[in-house]
Amino acid sequence: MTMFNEYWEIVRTFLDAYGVSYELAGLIVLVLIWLLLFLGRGLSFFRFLMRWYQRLIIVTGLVALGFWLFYVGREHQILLDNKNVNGLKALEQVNVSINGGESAELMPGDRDMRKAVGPEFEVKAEILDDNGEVVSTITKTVKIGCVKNMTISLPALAAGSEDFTLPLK
Amino acid sequence: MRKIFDIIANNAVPAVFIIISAFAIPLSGYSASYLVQELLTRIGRNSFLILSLLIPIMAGMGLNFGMVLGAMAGQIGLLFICDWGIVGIPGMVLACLIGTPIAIVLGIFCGHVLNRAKGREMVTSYILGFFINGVYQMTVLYLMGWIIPITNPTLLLSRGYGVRNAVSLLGIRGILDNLIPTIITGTQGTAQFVNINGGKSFIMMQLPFLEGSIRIPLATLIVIALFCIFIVWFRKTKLGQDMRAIGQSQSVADSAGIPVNRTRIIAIVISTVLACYGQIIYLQNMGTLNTYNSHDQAGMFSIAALLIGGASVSKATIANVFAGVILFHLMFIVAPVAGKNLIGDAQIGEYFRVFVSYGIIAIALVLHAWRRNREREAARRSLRGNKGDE
Repeated sequence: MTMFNEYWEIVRTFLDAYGVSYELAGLIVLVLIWLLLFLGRGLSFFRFLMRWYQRLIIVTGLVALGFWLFYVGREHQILLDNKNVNGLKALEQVNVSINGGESAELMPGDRDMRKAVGPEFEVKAEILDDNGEVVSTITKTVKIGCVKNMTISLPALAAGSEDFTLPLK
Repeated sequence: MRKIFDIIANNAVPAVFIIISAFAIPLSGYSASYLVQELLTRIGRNSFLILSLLIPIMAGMGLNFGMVLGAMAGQIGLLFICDWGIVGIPGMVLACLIGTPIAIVLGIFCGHVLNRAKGREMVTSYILGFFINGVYQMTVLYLMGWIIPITNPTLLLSRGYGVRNAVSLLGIRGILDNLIPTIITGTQGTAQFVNINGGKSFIMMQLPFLEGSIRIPLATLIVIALFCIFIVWFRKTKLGQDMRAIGQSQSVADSAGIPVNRTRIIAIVISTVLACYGQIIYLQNMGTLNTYNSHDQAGMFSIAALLIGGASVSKATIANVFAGVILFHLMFIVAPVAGKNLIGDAQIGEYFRVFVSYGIIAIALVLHAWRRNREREAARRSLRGNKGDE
């Protein structure tokens, strides 16, 4: 019973993460069971098992491919935040680009958005002084995984903190 | 005399279109490079959908109006990738992966229905398309966002469930067409597309007789070429031979031990799945998904193009597909402008195109029915020992 509960917990976490309702998941399972019984009618148990074993391998491969495509093809919204945070002052002027794309120019209190595709991206921040001269350049590779949105705190990034995604821990 | 008549009857439809195009092209005033560009785009956009019709014809099931089922499956795949924000080639492949099981289930359903309506497959699949359209509309309009999770607010209607009528496919727009950027330039067009795809390298060819530049959707054309090779290979396989045998005579095929019903279902499933991929290719080229209408015309336009290419209900080749796409879409491009230049109103040209195009399809179907009746009559006469009326 404990094992069942553990499995159920994993399934529940997955369903909640992707916003799939329990009713829909139950319906899909029922349809799959019906399909299994319907397609296996009239076969000996061994042949039925072998056939489904082969099909299971193919389906598992395709599902795995689907998850991989989801992982590598997902577009993320990267919010760039140049506000005071945890005692760190907003930067006077900073130019930020994601994966070498069009750069965003941010003044104190500004927020902008850029998009990135894939499980990781490279953020490049050029910090400028009052005269518009580049003081320092920071380049970081950020792993985002499957998360849809991420907010980067530019003052935290400029301060060299490893924890620069909002909300800060 | 009869042979000449047969040749004319067999090629009447493409011949009429060639004659009309020959008059309409100079009237439109379009340059050769513009026409070639437009035709290349449309060949890339539509050929896959039309090619998906060939296999059911091979199996003697006529023109598969049920291909809209596959188109709907493809659209559902596209809606999901839009919701999840999957872009680029992975997004397109994922849409195909999602659409495939839906297309298979719909194809099996369609095949079973058509097996109960042998001899009337075309009208049955046409009506079945309307029926499944109702199910699709219910799913998209009521279940998505309510039972089926859709989290992207830009996809949903303001009431909180149901998908909007127009969905932007910006994430996959032209992604296959521009995968291998290729340009043909003429004497005056060398500098026009230098910055294509953010300065990426591209294949460039020069043709002296051409003016301006032509972008070629090379990757799409390669996919279509692979599909053509698949069809040629498939015809030689055991399953392909079975389908051809069934297309010749179901009773003879049944006597020879070929599982007729099963093979017919497989033919429809293959066609539906390929139509699903075809619709995804079509929509990545368009860049916008009209949720409730995009699939509606997919079947009609594909069948029209195939018939215009010289195919019939019982015989179609790959050459018919490309001839049909070129002739049908040439009319789409030149007719409105030719009408405007001739009469002063583009609407007249468009009416003329619709009238001629669909009139021609009706003639093609009537010619086929007439020819089939004549062949049956001749067969009956030969069985009676009568040599006929030659």
